[in-house]
Amino acid sequence: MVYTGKNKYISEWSNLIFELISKGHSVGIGVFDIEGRLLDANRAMCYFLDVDENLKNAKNSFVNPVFHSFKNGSVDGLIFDGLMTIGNSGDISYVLNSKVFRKQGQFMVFAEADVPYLFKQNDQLSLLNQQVNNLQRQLIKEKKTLQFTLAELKETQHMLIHSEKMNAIGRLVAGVAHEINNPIAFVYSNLFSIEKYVEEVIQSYREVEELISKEGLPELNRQAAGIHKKNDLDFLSLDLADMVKESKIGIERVKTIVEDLRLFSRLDGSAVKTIDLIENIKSTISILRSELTSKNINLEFLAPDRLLVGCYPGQLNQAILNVLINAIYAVDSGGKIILSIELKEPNVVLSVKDNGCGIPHEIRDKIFDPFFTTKPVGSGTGLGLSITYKIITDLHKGSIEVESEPGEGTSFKLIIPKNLSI
Amino acid sequence: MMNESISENFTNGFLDNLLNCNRSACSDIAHSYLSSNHSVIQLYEDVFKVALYEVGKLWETNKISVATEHIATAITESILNELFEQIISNKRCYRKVVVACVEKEQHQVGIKMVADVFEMNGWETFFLGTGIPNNELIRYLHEIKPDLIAISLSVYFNFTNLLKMLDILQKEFPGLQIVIGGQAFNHVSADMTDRMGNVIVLTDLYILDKFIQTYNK
Repeated sequence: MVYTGKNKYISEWSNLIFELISKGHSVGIGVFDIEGRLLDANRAMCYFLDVDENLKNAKNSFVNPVFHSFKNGSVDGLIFDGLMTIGNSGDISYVLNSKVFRKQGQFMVFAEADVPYLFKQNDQLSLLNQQVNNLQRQLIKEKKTLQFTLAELKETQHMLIHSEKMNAIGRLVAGVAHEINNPIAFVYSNLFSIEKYVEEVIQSYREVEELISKEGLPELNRQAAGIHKKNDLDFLSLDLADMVKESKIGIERVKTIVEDLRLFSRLDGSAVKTIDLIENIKSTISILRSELTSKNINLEFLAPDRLLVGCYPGQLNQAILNVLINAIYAVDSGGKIILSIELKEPNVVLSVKDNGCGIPHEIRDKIFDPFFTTKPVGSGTGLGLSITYKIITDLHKGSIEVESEPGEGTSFKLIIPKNLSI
Repeated sequence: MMNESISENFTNGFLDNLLNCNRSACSDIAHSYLSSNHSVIQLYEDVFKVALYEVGKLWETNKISVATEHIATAITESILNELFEQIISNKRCYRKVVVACVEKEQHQVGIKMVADVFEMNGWETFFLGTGIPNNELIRYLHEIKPDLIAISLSVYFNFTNLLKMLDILQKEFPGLQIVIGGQAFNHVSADMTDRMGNVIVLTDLYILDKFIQTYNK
């Protein structure tokens, strides 16, 4: 709606209105001579043309239409009506609704900013800016999501490579373990017989010596003592017993390694059962009770009273036992281990957290590798965590998360499905 | 006291540059505030919020135009975007929140800060901004199935629209936890909040942060 009245009342204020317009910012009025020299201007026109206090040295000019075009005709009256651009052909351009009048060789330029249009445009630009801003935010979010996905994919790739490596090693160790299992079995068994026979032989010889000594045949007695001394039989009998004892310890260790290797390579030898996981884990803890007591370690067990889980019970016990053994090794006397079991549908999370020495950054990637150990030679086979890895990831289709800070402790999370489907 | 005056210096500098439309100076102030041991929430609450409320007052007292207010908001939003990538937490908690303004509300910078606090705490945020009609919001909520919805009311004048929106949400999603906040709540009395039913009013970002952390547990 546009009001088209005569503005009878407004006209009564004309002098004041003129004064206000001459100082205003939105309507530019300027009078020019035939050569384009500015003779008079209100504040807005001074601003549009950017002139000094003497109305000279204009930094801006009429860009479209150019002033020269006003001189084409010679008739007085309205000679231009439309959008006019005043500016510097560079970074400044004011587009104004303009009228140019000619009278007695002078030009009056009336140039006004279309305020309703500018307000509307400002609103639209603000809205547009808001939309661009929101789009930018959305893009940042999507970029971040892609980064997360990429990191997860890398992790999965890493796991797949590791899993493949483990399978290859599994096949190799299965062959080796099978081949050396039988010879170890008879060496192990023979050692027990040897120990017994050695004792019997030494005992028999002592009896013979005693007999000779009692029967009082000095020459025989002297000869027997000579043989005894010459062959250092006291030392031999002691050393033989020690050697047999050490060999037994050695073969026990070889047997353990072979059993671990067989376990590592043949984890599919049992069936999935639904068991109370809490009861199962409690039995594992009881195996470690003496170790915990001797090192004065406080083991906190946080779990629901009962949790039925479909899994390979023996293997799962083995997996958690290996992690617990490492935790016990990592903490000092008086340290703390928290074993917790949590149901996070559809998974179960078994978490072992210790306040021990932590895992140095440089060996993080190796902890699940078979035969990798930080324990002194002879103390560990380096198979514990690789067995756990295989049990959790291959057998139970789960995952393992490790967080560790050297000097502060380590947290292992074994995540398995609550009901393993085969 | 000393910290307050440090924040005040940053806020005044930020406000001056907002009014002078100097985006890069505002960005420098925000980054330097963060590097002088302040948290993102402190930056939002003690610098951005205080400066923007002051911009609102300047408009109310006829000192600046709506256009200047728009530019001040646009500059602040651009800095929020600058910081957005670094505030998204890498630890995700797999909870979802939809953040939206009351129907017909035009001010979205506050709810954007709210969305950021959820992101800092590992939530998946769905930012709807302004101009979302109630029926669109309902459709969106059915699709996203969020754990929570956060609604902002900046202008007190839109309070009846908030009541209408809450009524629709509570009928359509009876179990959905609703949290609300915004500048308008400086003028809302306790008996008025009683009329809003089972919603939680969170009056600033510090309280929101604590609320989310408790919720995460």
